Amino acid sequence: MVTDLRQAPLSDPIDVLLADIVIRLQLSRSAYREAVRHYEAIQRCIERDTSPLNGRVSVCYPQGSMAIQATVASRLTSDEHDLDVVAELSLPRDIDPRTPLDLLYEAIRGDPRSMYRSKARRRRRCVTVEYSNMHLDITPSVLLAPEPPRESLIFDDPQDTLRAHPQSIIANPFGFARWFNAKAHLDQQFSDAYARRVLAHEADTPRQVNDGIAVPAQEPVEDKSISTIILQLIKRWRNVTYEPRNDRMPPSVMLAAMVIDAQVTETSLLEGLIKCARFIFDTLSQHSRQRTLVSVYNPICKDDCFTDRWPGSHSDQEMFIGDLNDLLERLQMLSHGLALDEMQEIMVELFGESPTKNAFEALNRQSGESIRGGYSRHDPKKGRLLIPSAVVPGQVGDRNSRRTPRHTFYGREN
Amino acid sequence: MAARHISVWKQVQAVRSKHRNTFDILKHTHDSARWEGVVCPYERKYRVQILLDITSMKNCIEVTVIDPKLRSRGCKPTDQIPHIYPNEKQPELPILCLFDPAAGEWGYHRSVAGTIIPWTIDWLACYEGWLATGEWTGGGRH
Repeated sequence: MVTDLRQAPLSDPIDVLLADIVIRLQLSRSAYREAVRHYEAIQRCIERDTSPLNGRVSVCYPQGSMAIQATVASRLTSDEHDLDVVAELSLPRDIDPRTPLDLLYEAIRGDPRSMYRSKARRRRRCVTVEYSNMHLDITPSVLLAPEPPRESLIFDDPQDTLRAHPQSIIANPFGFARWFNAKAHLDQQFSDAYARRVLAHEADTPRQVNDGIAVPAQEPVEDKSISTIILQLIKRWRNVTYEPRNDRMPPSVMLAAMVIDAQVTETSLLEGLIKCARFIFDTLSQHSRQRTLVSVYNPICKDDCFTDRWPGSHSDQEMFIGDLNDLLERLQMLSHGLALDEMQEIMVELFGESPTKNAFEALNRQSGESIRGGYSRHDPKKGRLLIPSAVVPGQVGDRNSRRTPRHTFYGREN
Repeated sequence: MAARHISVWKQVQAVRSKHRNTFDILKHTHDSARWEGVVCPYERKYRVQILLDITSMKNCIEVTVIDPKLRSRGCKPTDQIPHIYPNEKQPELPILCLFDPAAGEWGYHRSVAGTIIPWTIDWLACYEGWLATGEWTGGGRH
């Protein structure tokens, strides 16, 4: 019999906390359902009989973070999410780049009584529809060729023709999402451990996570790769870092491609995160030494440049290299055996106060409940507490563990 | 019938057997023993000492944290470390209140290896949680 002696995934406290922070940052399953309902409603709206796009909508599909399960709250102080959807339109390829955006904007706004009339905004490459806890960016596209899948034109209207002119751009967000999902390393044990934490969070906080459309209790959590979770952590750290600045952020899609290129096979989130941050740092530093700007392309569409708007200058690139250096220093500190309050201080700096403190409070609550209830467990060989929700019957951590006899702390309590 | 006391020798053997990798015996006699070892509730390792003295009529078992020293959260009374006894000999090393003596949760008939050491891990987990959040979630009796 082959015995798997490696550490069970998501059993280290740091990994548990990192995963729990992501769970609090990402679109909940109920909110995801709500988002799907929103974009399906918009699709019906733009296909309606009186729409200028009636008969011209081929398909709507999620792109970006929603397509690769890498959503992260876009604001530091709220749960608001920015979600991206492509509306593939049957329009001529040589159409004026402003026209698809104008048509989509008019189609979404609808008649004067339409619910979308006050919610829609025409932007440079998309039309944004705002909801209470999310906004959808709907990007019009025109299909160029079915092979590779859904290579398309999207349209860029800077609305400031003194600086730049409207143009059509070749892109393939559908193909990229498919590539990312195929390449992201999926470890079933890790994925199962993550799913258990998602379910535990949903059970613990039903009101917060069930604001959208209720998810049936028995519906399994979708498999998720460690690469995707690492990408979410890096995106969140980037959002926190750039929040006080007016500078354009390094694009999520560039970070996504680099996370895959870093080839994470670890099952430790912290180790994988350090590996990816180091890879991005090394890649950008190499360009810096050569006095070039990093350029990353869609791996299945050579004309789809992910870095066409960032970095705009060497100072943009240098700033992010410095940020990555700070990130790596803090991650190294985290790996040096800190107490919970010390870890919390670092993670608040990296990922923001609300999700971090919430994750620490949940861990403290779970441990306390297990101790009070007389079902805490420890590993005598390591002198370590086992995280209650991370122990799975039959796994390595469980086989080494012993139940701690019930006891009652005594003396003054604050 | 009262449960039989476990001899110091047997306690030493049990700690050696169960916590071989983490605890060493510093000194033991017929009626006392002192261990030092490392426990790690989450990521931070703590060096702790355990003193067992069965000459006392009271159930004398004392656990102190040697390194790193225990910290309070701030200057207010509510910021002081919960669930400790003062240590008259070494005030900087308070004694951990691991069990309720009035409820008879511990006596010389109980194993140090099977109770005191895991309870110390529990105490330190609650202590770290309290440092991070201000809330002692492990419960207890005043």
